Amino acid sequence: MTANSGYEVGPTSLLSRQFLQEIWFFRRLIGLFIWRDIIVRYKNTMIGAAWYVLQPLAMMLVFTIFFGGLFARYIGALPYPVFAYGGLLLWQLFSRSLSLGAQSLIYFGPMLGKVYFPRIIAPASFVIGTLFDFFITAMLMVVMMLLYGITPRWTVMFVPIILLFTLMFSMGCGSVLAAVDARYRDIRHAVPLMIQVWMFCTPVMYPISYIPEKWRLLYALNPMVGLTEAFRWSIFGIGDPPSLVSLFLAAGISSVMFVAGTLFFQKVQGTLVDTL
Amino acid sequence: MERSVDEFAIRAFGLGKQYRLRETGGMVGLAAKMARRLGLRKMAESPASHFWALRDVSFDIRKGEVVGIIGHNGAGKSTLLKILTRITNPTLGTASVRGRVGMLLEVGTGFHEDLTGHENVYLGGAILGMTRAEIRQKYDDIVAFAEMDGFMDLAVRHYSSGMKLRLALSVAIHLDAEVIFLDEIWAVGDHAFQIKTWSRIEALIASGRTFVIVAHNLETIGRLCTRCLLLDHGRLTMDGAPDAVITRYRQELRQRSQSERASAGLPLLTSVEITALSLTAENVPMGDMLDCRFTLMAQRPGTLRMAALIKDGSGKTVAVGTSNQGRWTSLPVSAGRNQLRCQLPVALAQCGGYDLLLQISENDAVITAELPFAVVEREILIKDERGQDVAVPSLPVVWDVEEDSQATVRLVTSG
Repeated sequence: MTANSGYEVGPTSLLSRQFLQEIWFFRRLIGLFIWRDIIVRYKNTMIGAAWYVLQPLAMMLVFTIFFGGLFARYIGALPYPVFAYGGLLLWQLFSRSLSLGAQSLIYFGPMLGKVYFPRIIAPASFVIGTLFDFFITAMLMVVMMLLYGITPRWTVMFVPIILLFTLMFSMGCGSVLAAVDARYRDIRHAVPLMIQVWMFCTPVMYPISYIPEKWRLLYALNPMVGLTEAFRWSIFGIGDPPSLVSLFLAAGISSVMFVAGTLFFQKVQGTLVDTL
Repeated sequence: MERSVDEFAIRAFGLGKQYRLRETGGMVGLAAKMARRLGLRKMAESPASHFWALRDVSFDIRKGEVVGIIGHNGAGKSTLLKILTRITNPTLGTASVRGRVGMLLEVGTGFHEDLTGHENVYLGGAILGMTRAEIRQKYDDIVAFAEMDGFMDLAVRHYSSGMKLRLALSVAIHLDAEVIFLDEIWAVGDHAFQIKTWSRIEALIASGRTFVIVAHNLETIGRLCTRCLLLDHGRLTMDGAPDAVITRYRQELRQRSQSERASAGLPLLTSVEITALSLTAENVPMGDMLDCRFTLMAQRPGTLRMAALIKDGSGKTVAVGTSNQGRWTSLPVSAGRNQLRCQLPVALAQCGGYDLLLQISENDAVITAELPFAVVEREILIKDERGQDVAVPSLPVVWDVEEDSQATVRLVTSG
């Protein structure tokens, strides 16, 4: 039985065949929603894509002015602006996909009350859609690397894997936050604060070597630590590769969060609209 | 005599849906939830804070049946439809639906104001479950049916509300569905478009599609359906031929007003009975007069106070009639039969199904009568500055030549 020949109504079972077939049947919707959001954004803004470059650019300038000298000795060969922008590039992808994922049900709410499609498509399309912004902000990274004469090495081939784990992690967290927000509106106020604090706990503006050795393991429980380190190493190809421990922690925790988050969402998805 | 499972389009077994009455979403709700988890019965929410919008509803619908669902406001009609279309999960029970499902519930879902009509057709079609090839193949038909040729590259925000609804409805109606859920859509577009929509729906019915129709308009149900379900406070109270079910529903509405009256127990009001309650037209164009006539039987002469209000499909009061006396209007009634008429303009925010509530009161006792009706859009085509036809709402206008009283006076004095 496919999604087009009927369905069962009742308590949602996690990962049923019906669910997987439906995701497959409605997969095109994810692309359409992403396309819609991009088009709408460009129709309504004057400089469109530039906004997404401006934000990390401004942050990079601020970091360089205030912290550039402070952290320079921990960084090594890399110029601080390039270092900071590299970190911000991945952080921007994570923070945007996390906050959009968490807000997705607010935006989709009216539609969800009128028509059925697998509810997980709402956070999924928002989370995946941030890849588009990522590619635009990445263009400035390319320009900066050309200016500073940094050529990427073979390590750049790890970038897609790092992006995948980053999005899996934000999808996992985002769908839990979105589902809880449908019931307790506190989430929408808590997320911006959470993201702000989180950035300081992630080596975005400073390198991991700034953190004292004895705290590193605890520090690496934040998957964004391993992912950010790995991301910088793979695009610049300079310095030591990230430690295996932080890589395993990052990959492990983000995978677990992805599975747990989407399953939780799946468990409550049937009655989300009642409280939206 | 065993029927094969394939013959069924919908099977519902023990469907129930419980909602929270007050939203205990905050700290209180959380505390109560924890208390329940910990087994502290006293602190946990009392069961009275929940109510069953739907309770123990079971039925089978065979392929090709056209089933109408009727019931008073809040009887659970919309909840049932939302469960069958998977918009929300039931608290109890299961159902299975066989065949491709089409939803004509609230049209315009997924339309984005900033996208063009063309883009929206593709998006809206995909949300309803159409493939890209299917939409491409039917695109011209969709545009033609909606009478939107020449507008498709314009952003939807520049459409009139009638145009938006026509286009959305046209997309929905072109989905090749085998099981179709329909709610309130006759109240879309101008009269000509409604006729077109209904003939399309009747063609779909004739071609053997299964329909589940929730309607306020009993006339529609009686005409189209082969079977009717009656819901009362969330329970399925009758399942049978449309005529019989509609008759019983009308009886129940009358009985309810009588029992309310009986419990009031007041001199004049106890002897009052509302009969022959009817509307001149069940479909009223926006801006027109809703015209309701009824007969009031009273055993002695006296004065009663009347009020009229309009409720929407969810039971919310959306308009209250006021006269120069205010919300309540005192009217003298004579012994025996009183013919009464109530007219009020339909100036509501949107088209759709509504209920007219008539209230008749003496002192604090009130009896009520309820009548369903639908508000439809009335549009006319005019030429805009570019010479293109655009649909705009039409409003009733009254023209009169008035005598200039001052001029007359002057004529008299000078003569």
